[in-house]
Amino acid sequence: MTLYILEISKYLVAGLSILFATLGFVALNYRSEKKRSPIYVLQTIILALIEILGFLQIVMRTGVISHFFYAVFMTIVLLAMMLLTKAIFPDANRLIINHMAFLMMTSMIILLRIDEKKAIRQLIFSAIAIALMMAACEIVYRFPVLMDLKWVYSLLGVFFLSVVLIVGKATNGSYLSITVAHVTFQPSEFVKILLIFFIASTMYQSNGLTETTLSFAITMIYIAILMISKDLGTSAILFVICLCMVFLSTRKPSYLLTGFMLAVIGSVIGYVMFAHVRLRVHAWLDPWSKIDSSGYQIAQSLFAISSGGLWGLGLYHGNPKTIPYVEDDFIFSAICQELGMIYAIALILVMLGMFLMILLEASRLRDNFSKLLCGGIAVSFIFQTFLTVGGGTKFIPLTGVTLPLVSYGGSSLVSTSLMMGVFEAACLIRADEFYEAMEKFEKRQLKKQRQNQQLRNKQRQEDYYVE
Amino acid sequence: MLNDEMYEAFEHENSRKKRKHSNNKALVFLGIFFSLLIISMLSYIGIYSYSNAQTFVENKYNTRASQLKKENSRGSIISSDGVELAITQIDDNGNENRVYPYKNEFAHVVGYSKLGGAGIENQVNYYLINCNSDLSTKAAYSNAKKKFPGDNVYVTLNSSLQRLAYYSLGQYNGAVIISNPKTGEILAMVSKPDFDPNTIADDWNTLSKDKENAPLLNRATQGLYPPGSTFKILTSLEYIRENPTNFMGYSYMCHGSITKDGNTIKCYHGQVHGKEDFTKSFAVSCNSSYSNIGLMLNQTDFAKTLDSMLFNAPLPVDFATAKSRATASTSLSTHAIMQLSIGQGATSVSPLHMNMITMAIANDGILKKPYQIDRVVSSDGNVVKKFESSEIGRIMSENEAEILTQMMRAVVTKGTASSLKNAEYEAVGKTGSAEFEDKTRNSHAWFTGFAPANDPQICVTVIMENAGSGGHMAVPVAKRIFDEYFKVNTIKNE
Repeated sequence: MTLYILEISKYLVAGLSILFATLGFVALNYRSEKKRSPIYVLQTIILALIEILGFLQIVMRTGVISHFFYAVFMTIVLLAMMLLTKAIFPDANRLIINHMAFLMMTSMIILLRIDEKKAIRQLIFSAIAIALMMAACEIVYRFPVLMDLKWVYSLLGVFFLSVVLIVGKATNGSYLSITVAHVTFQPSEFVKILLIFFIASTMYQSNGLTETTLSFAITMIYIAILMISKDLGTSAILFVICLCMVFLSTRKPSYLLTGFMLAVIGSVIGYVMFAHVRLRVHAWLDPWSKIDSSGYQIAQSLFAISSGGLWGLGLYHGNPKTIPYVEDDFIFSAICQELGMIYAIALILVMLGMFLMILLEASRLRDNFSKLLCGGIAVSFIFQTFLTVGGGTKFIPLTGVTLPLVSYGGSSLVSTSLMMGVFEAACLIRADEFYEAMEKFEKRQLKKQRQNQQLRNKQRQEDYYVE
Repeated sequence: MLNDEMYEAFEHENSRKKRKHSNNKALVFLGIFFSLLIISMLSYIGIYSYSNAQTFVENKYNTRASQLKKENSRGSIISSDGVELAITQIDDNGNENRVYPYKNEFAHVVGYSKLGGAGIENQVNYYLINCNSDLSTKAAYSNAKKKFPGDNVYVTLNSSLQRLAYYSLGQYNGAVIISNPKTGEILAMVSKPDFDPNTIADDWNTLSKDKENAPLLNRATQGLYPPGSTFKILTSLEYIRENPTNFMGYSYMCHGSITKDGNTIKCYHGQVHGKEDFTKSFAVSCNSSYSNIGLMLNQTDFAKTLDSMLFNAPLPVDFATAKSRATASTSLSTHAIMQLSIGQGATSVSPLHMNMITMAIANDGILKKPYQIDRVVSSDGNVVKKFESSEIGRIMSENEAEILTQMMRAVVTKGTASSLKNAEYEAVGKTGSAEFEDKTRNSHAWFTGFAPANDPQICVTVIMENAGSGGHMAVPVAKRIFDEYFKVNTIKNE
């Protein structure tokens, strides 16, 4: 009996995840929140089902009943996010919120299986991140002055990165984090947001050569500092953010081409100059010959992904802990192994759905600043996903960045949540634009109606006189 | 508040406007670009992990295999005639013991699972430790507190042919391979000296230290022997290729030996064959005549032919094999050219390779890939994977295969394999007696051939170490196999 429940719930979870992702894409076809709301209801039901089935498996496999309490707290946090956003920001985009809930839930379930203590911390981080997201949304919406603080952003970014470089502690060979009052955080996660704001505020009014050069220059300064800290992943993300935002603003393909060539040249220089870059590239090209050293992590990751098959081995039935740092950079591999390839693909499609939703909202925005912000956020989100999933699966060299909203870690969680908060603010701004335009349209329509009425009355009178 | 009708009208106008002046081309571009990037990555992940699933499990750094062994009991290996060749017995305490009911008879080909594994046991380890049974079957095992049953592997080996080959080889060291040239199925594969896989762990020290006999080596696939006169098949093929219209016009007068540039090659036991044509030279296996032919060949073309006949490269099969060597080159000395043409000197070949060349001749020039694994079936009968017969390719023309068949028939009717002459079936083949520089040792006896000539059903290759001449020693072994085979299987005549 136990086996039946475990096996069937495994297949159900995989099937439900695909349904959830598909609904996300269906939602993209409807323009208004109102029309999308039946989809949201369905998605919420699916989330609940996945959670119930997931925790059923967890409790049946471990026999630890107290895991149900974790489920309860998780439900409270995620439900609070969904309900509060709806209540406080009626015009916010709820598709993003639903998808965030899916990703956070997946994260907590798989972390609970890997390391209970980390799962509890992740739950607390999630609660904080959600609160900060809402705060960010309110602040960005309320204070248009944020458009004109470009120097503050750039200096703050340089400051953060320099602090890490000077007092930071090395993890895994890179200087990434600083500890203040027992709280360790990775400033590079927040520098992404600062850069997005900086470029948006530089380029929203005019997009001439001066602004473009300035954007590239500041990005390059950031990257230079990050290269010294050996943070390849964030460097790549910042560069791509800059490139895409400049392209969005100028709409000149020549910038994309130039940027692409710069990236190629930069990679070659990085390969020649830095030993740790060469190591990563070699481990990517052939992890098998160095399986006992630099190739170990990627090889174990590939083993895990492959052993899961389509439906996964089931929670607690794989051995994800054989991958070093599985909860940070290789969480995707753990998901592949225990929840299966179908679920893992659904997860990435959920993220792709978020990316497309953000771009769609951006396309409907008139406010250029918010439009650029959305573009930057979307690109940062999807490119980081690409880097970490591609790196863990031997598609591209490993760069050591987190999977947004899924990897363990407060900084990553908070920074992605902040970005989503900024996006929601952009949605509110778009809604205002919409209402404004609607009002004008309504006035025009009423005026037209009145004119028509008068015309008709006149006609009738004339007819009357004729008779 | 806004009414719905108004809203619709507004939306309509809005979307019309959007289409007119779209300043969102850059956004659309980014959307498409990143979507394609993500989709290509996902496809890559799916394909890469699926196609490497088996290799990954076999990697010793992967803990997955040991985990599977804890969950599932190892499946059985079953012959094509339904006989269990390897089974796992579980005693009351749950201890597992791998049992090989036929002991030494299948030692090399089935191999063993302990000590790193060998043979089929090693090749299909992945299937044997996985369980693809239905959920209901698994539940039944789970309720009985037993491990899940691993999948069973059905092999192409025929247990009666294997035993026949095993006992026909007798006390000699060597190998026998029986295959189906039309499909590539290996029906039997024997290597001697052998061992008992049931006690491999206990006997390991003695077996692995015996460098002289190397009992653990599968001679059929990994043994390398001088091909001797069986190599004349290849020399003939090259001569036919170089003289496609007039090779039958060849004639030679054999005086028992040939001398060229001071190098002398003798016929086997100094026999004098007299006047010969091409077919007779082959049938009586005249070394003098073949040395003469060898000296006429274009060495560059011969090298190409040898490479196309799979020499000097790993054999394209799914199990471990040794690389056969045969070098033709314009830089060879006269002595080396003469040695090459009669399959002596630096030339070496594995019995499997010789069997494959025979298979190609029997199958009108098309070589089927030899294989031993037929299908993987779950404990409750679902076919998990079926291995199909596949083609390595055409390695000689239909005409060349036909000519070689006729010449090999002459070996039986008026040559060195004449003890097969009066059989009910039409056997064809070529003998070989590979000699050593050291004359105190007897030569290796070779036979490779097939039957019936017009509709080949089985190819048999025999090598017996230090046994004497191929005609006297190896042909009788092949004859016993053919006799028994055609007693059971009717000869199909087209």
